[in-house]
Amino acid sequence: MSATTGGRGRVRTALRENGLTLFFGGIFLAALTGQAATGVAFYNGEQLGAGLEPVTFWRYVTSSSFAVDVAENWQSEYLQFLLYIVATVWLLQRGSPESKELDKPGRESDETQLVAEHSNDDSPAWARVRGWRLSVYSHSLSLVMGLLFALSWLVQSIAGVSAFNEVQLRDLQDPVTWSEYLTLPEFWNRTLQNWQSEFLAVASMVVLAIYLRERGSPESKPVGAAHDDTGMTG
Amino acid sequence: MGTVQRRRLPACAFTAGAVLAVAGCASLSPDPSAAASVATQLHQAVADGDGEAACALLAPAVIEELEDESAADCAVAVLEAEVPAPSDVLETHAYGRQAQVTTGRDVVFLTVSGARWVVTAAGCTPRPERPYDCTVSGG
Repeated sequence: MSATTGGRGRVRTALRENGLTLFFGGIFLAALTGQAATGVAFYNGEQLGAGLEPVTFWRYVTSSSFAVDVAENWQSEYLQFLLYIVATVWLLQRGSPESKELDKPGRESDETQLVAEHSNDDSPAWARVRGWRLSVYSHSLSLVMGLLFALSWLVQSIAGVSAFNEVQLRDLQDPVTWSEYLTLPEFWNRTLQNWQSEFLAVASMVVLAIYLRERGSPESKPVGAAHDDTGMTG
Repeated sequence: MGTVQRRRLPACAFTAGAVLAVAGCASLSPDPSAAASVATQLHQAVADGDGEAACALLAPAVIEELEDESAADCAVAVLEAEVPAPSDVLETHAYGRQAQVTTGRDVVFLTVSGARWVVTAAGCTPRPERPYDCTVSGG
């Protein structure tokens, strides 16, 4: 009985300590499933309208049409975070909790960053010793975000040309090559319509958080903080 | 036989995950060379005067259009539709559920129906900046 109670306690603790990841992972899967379900309905509507056969759910989720719709959103999200991570090293915004304090632009000192001789017992191994590992680890977040962005954008382009060509052939027109596709409005319209929304969301967050509050959120300043307090979270 | 070039991009799927993962690449379409074979069979059936065999290779929308336009059965209408004689297959493209076969005399468009290819347009000739002009199509 005590073992069962202990097990429940560990599960509860694990859920509590990973709630943010679990919540967003869960709603991501729900939204992706919803996108697939509505996507196959939309795709089959177009198929039937053209006098062609509908496809099964599995056929749709393994199609280039679904892949390009997913990838075009993924790449823009990773680009958004990549730019946000890198731009906030140097760029500041007075009054925004999304900005560093106004006297701290740049890479900051080794002491502040807890690296090499300034590291402590809990510091990650690659942060403790100078050398290439420290250099890589010092930029690992932007490197991985950048890689994910590049991969997502590449997948968007590959799945995109396949989906585009499928429509071209359905409409009795010639297909295009991948390099031709990269110059077409179709590719750039898909790309830029996602980029603009991400950039707007970030700009809105940076500015609105100067004046507005959400009590208890680390994305907000404390409710009573002054509007020109910068880099403060509560 | 002429040169058959097959260029094809597989339709790939994403699997959901914490990181971007491209997985479960799968093709929606049968072998694109089968599309070239169906195009050739259509040309041959029309050349042989076998309208029944030709219509068996057409998509339902094409059959409907042929019969509406000519007020005759498909097997008769397809033989009057100016489908060119058989010729070498020069090039084949397949994307998802659609294919295009270029022969020495025309271009043929096909779609997947069940596990096989059927013709959605034949006797097609290119027009600048516009869809192909086809003697047989689904309208």
